[in-house]
Amino acid sequence: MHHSANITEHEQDHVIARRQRIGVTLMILFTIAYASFIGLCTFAYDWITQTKVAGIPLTIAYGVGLIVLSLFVALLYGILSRTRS
Amino acid sequence: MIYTPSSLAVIVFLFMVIGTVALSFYLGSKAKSSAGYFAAGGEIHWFVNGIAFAGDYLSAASFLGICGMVAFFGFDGFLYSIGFLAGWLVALLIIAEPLKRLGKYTFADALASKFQSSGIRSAAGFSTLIVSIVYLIPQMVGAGALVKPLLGLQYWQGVVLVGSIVVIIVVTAGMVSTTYVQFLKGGLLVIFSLVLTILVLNRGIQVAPGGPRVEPQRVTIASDGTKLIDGIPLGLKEGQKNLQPVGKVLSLSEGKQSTGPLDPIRFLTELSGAQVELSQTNKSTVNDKPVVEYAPRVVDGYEMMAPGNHPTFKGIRQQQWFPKLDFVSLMLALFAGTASLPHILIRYYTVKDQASARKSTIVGIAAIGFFYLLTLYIGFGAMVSGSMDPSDSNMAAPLLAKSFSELLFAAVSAIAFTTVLGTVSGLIVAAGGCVAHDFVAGMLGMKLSDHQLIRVAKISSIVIGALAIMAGLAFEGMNVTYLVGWAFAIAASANLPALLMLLFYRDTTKQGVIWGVLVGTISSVLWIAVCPEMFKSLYGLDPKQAWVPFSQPGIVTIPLSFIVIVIVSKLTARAHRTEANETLTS
Repeated sequence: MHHSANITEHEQDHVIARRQRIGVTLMILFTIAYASFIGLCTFAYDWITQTKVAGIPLTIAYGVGLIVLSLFVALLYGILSRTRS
Repeated sequence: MIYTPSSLAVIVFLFMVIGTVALSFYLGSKAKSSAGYFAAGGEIHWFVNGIAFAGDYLSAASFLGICGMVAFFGFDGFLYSIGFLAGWLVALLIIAEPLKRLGKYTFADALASKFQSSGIRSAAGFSTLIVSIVYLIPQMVGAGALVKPLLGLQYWQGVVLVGSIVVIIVVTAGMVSTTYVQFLKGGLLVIFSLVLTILVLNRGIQVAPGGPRVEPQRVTIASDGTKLIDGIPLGLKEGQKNLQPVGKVLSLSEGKQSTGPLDPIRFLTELSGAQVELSQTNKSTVNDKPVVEYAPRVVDGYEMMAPGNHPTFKGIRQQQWFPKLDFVSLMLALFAGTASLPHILIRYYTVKDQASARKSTIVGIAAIGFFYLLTLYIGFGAMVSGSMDPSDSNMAAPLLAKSFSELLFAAVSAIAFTTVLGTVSGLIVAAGGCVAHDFVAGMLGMKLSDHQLIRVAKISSIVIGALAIMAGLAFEGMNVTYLVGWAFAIAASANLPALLMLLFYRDTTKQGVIWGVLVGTISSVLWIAVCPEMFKSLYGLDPKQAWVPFSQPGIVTIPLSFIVIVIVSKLTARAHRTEANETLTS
């Protein structure tokens, strides 16, 4: 009984650690996308405001893209966490 | 600007308020235990909790503030949407599951779990109270400003009304009623925002009749205190004058007069080729009396899709470093602050397990993200609606609704009011729970029964509600978005470094956590107290005399908190090991 409890605990720790790795990896990727946006707005103002994507200023396209990316990352994390556990 | 009093708005408003309070009393009869009062017994379904996250988080600043900012300053308002949402990824990917695993009722539970330290509990309780009160201020200021035009009440009446209703909600049933109020509010807000957006896209953009306005609208005060518009008393009767709305489209691309219904992308491309007349506010003093001028400001749609139109963000167009750092600092605070707000963190305890915490955060992100996409269209839709009040940008969304129908105006106004109720009740529950658990039971070590704990929390909620009302009255007229930015900066400086270090830095000691939380809280509050914006808006002094070079503290105080945790943990590592060994041997 004690032995099986240890195994369950170990498995739980393993699952938690793996989920944490997924979370941290996705976080780093999203932070890069967010920081790049802030960096472009701050230090490449002329470029980001004058570039167009599908007729829309890049500022708007990038901003909307970040919101869509947030939704995608959240869903991806939900799926990866479920299948991994 | 004076709005025609709408009996429909009052009826819908009363219906929402009475319904909310009735729901609280009904749920209050069911929640008897301490777990029920503070964490809804951990029995809230993850989907309900996810929408309640949206109701908790989407405050007056999000709905009225962002839509108004987009309407008057374009893309700058959307920057808040992006920052607010990005912070939710930190909550989901890093914070949600460990917090649920380690805590029970308050944020301090999770932080103190590793060391069982009353010192950590007190420090975290202190930061929770500070953040909650600072975040309550803009909510109360928003409530007062909202009720004034909608119901014809005075500013102070609006603040007292919101404070009183929220205290009733919280005291009757705690987290259960708060959750369902937030669920209803979050759901209604997203649904009605979608309806508004569909109407905006369906209406398209039309050139308004008549050319651009030439003369500014001038508001002065007569010797008897009457408000005058261009020398004529303000009012709606004959011989009186009202402020004229702004937001006229002067021209569209290729000489079009109307676009007809548009899809979301075509709306933005058509707007980028339009010219719109907005207003610019100039304040001055003549013969010791204030004069406010709303001068016509013609803008290109394309220019409104670039950042830097609003005073808060104008720094990114400048070459100097400090204004740019101010912008980066604000965006950092928005990113790091969400996962550190006490009223958001306690919502992780209302679901049964870690999987539910994760799933409810994903639902919350979907609802909040979708809403923030809609703010772009509601804001730009208001910009070209020709119905905006030049004296109050916060009214852009309700007035846009009014340009479609009176019923929609009534519904949107009532929902806007419940946005304030939902957020304020969440903050008061968090602060009341913190006093009961972290200070009375944790720091003072008093052994209290379930019933006594709830009583302490209820009394604390009444006191905090009263403090919020007083703060709301004291900060009348202060910039709401600035206040929200500061609350995020304090939360991010105080709480996030400690949480992250506890999870990822093995050598963290309890002294490191305590000092990190305290230094993060105090340094960010001190920075705000002596910053240029505070000198200008609250003290009425020259902002150049401020003690710090920019107003947003996050870029300095968040790293400072991390550094303090590392240094103090290194310095106390030996004592910590000895203490741990003694605990093991005993």
